[in-house]
Amino acid sequence: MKLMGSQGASIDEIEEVYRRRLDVFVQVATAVLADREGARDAVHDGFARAVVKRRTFRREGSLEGWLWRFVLHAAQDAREPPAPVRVGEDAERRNGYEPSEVDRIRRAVAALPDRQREIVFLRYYADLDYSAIADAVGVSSGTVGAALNSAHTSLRRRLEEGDT
Amino acid sequence: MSRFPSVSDALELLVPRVEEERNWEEVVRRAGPLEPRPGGRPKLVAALAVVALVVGAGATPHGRAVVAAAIERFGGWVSGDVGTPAPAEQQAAFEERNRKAFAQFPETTKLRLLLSREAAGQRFDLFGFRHGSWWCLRVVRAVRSDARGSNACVPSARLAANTASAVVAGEARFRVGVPEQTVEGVFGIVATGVRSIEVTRARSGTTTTQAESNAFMTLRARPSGTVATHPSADSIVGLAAVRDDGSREELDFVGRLRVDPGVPGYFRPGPFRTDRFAGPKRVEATASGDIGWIRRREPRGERLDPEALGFPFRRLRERGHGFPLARGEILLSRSVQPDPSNPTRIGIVYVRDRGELYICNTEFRPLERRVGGISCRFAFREPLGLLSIGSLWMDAYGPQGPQFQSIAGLASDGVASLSVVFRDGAEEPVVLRENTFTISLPFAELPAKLVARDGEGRVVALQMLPGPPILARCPRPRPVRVTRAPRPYERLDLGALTLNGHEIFARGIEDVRAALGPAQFGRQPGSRQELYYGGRDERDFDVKISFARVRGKFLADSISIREGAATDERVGQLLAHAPQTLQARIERMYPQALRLETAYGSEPGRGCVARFKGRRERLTITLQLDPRSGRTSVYITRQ
Repeated sequence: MKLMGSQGASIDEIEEVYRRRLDVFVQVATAVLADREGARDAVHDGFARAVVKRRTFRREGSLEGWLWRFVLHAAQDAREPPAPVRVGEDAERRNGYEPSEVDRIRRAVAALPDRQREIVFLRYYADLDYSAIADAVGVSSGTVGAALNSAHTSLRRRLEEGDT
Repeated sequence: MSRFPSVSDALELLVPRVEEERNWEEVVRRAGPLEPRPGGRPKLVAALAVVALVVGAGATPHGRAVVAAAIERFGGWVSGDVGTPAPAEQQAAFEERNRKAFAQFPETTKLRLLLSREAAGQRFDLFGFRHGSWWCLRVVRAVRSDARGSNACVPSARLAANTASAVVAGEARFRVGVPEQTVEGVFGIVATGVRSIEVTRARSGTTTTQAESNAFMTLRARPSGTVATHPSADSIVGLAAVRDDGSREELDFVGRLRVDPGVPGYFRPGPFRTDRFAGPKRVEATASGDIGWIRRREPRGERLDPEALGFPFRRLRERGHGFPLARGEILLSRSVQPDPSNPTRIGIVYVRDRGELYICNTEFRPLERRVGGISCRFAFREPLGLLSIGSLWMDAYGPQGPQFQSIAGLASDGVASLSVVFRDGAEEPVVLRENTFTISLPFAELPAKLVARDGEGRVVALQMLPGPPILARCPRPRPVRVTRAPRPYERLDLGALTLNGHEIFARGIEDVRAALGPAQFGRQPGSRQELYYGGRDERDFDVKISFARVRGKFLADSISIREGAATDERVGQLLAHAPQTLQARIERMYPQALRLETAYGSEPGRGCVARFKGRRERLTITLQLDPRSGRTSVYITRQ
């Protein structure tokens, strides 16, 4: 049985990251899913998948970046498809949900392409460096930099436009 | 100018960081059984032991020992590379089907082709895919890959806990060709080392199908027949796995209970009294039935438009229908996915109608485009309520239905935890989310008991989850002879189909009253009318005449004879005979008018009944034995 060594992560190592960084994992998953309860589920699912696949960790990058990959996939799996039916904005308003600052930010973030959005979350919420983000998302570090730059510009512009 | 000094400030406002409760045991539970870690810390070993006990103890009638890494025996299912990738065309057809369903599998779901079988000149493909901790199987006709097909998912935790070499996941049934043939069978998951599966049917005996790709599927075709020429029931009554070394192992399969053909039998419900089943026997504390988020109309879950469910609300409302959902004011309408690992969703519609509050619900199952039905109940009355429990079909040889029962329900805010107690006392937790839950359990492991506890661990509600009905022999008949003379409504002529010398069928309510005299009382159940003679209530009567609405008028379409001295001149007092004797007398006295369709006891499980059909009219006469009282009753209908 090979649980530790040159290849593979141990359950202890995965648990250590879980205990140290759970708040951040849930925060990012919440941003992806727009649902904190669903995010908690996705994070636990993601870690469970990682535990099952722990032997496949090659130790070429950071363990946390590798774990992020599972959590993001779990969040993507849990992301519910567009509601089959929309009751419309009026119904939302009747329920007391007027458009707010948070909605404006949400719309600005939602306008980003999926991958850019995830990279932004990993950078700002999880405070990962470019290399760890690259591991998590499966792109090069250069792509991470370019995506962040583009997302940053787009977000600032949309937030400022909303204020005028 | 922006009010947000930086993008990071804006993002922090969007999703604040919250200190989360650590629950590593939950991660371990979801990961399934793991090998013990060398030198692992005692705490985790203890956690694994708890998980093993919880999962293993409650899961299988075959034995409770949990084998470490038991799930590994299912080979490619564990790694996700079972079978071969589905051809692109069939993958696309599945995705199309999935997209159109209310409850969907993730878009990234990839099918694996496990095996194919021929039946009725067509190819049927069995696909497999994983969804979270679920292993799913899908059977479709090769030429209709985007159809609903037959689908079944098995929670992998149950496979890990079960020591069986194979698990029957579901049943397939297709109707194909002209003249139509019915293709039917079962499919499931097998462990590595299983060579084949033996399938035994009630009439046609045993056949063998080879296992492939850690799966099996057995299909057979036969003419569908018609109502008049319905083929004899030939249900599956047993399955066995044959291992490479030739050893056999009987598999759990609901439907194998039977008595020998020729013995009259009927299906009676399984145990349903919570105080006679394992686990907590009584409720220890009261809990309110309140569900705060629904009452406050918080938009949790997903939005849902009831009109889109295909239910004709507007039309019903225009007609003034009494269904609360059609008539009332919709206060909230949401769709909730109780268990992230289970794509099933619950549609919840909160309604106010005439001062009463109702919660109406429906269930969205994956790959289904329609909802089966919608039911409404008073809101916030009970702490625990079942919304639906699987589906069960019955035929002459046993209950045939999903081998894994899906159970959905609502729990109030006063319920802090839910668990299922099995017949051996083992208890498993149930995921509770937004006050909703779904459970998937092997039918063979039911009945079980659902236990709701409050935050202090006190039992606040108990609910039985019914198991397969039990096939029982019909009891000895105890007919009763009445000594008084028959009353006008009891003077029957089975040949002319008259009561008191008057035709009853297709006559209006006033005509019947004129023929039989005033009834003791009447009822209006749903869209029907009923007149009761010689009794006190709808359970205790001599004769009941039922009327259906036909082109705006109520016309008699059935006669029920439950007690009393109902007498046919040729046959004698009807209820003074056991059904077999009554059957023989009717056959002898009315050979020109009636033909025996089902002889008493000829189909075990069909009930303690005999049935005649009219030779000239669309008429059915059913002679029935009440399994509890042993009394005979007669039911006559004409279409």
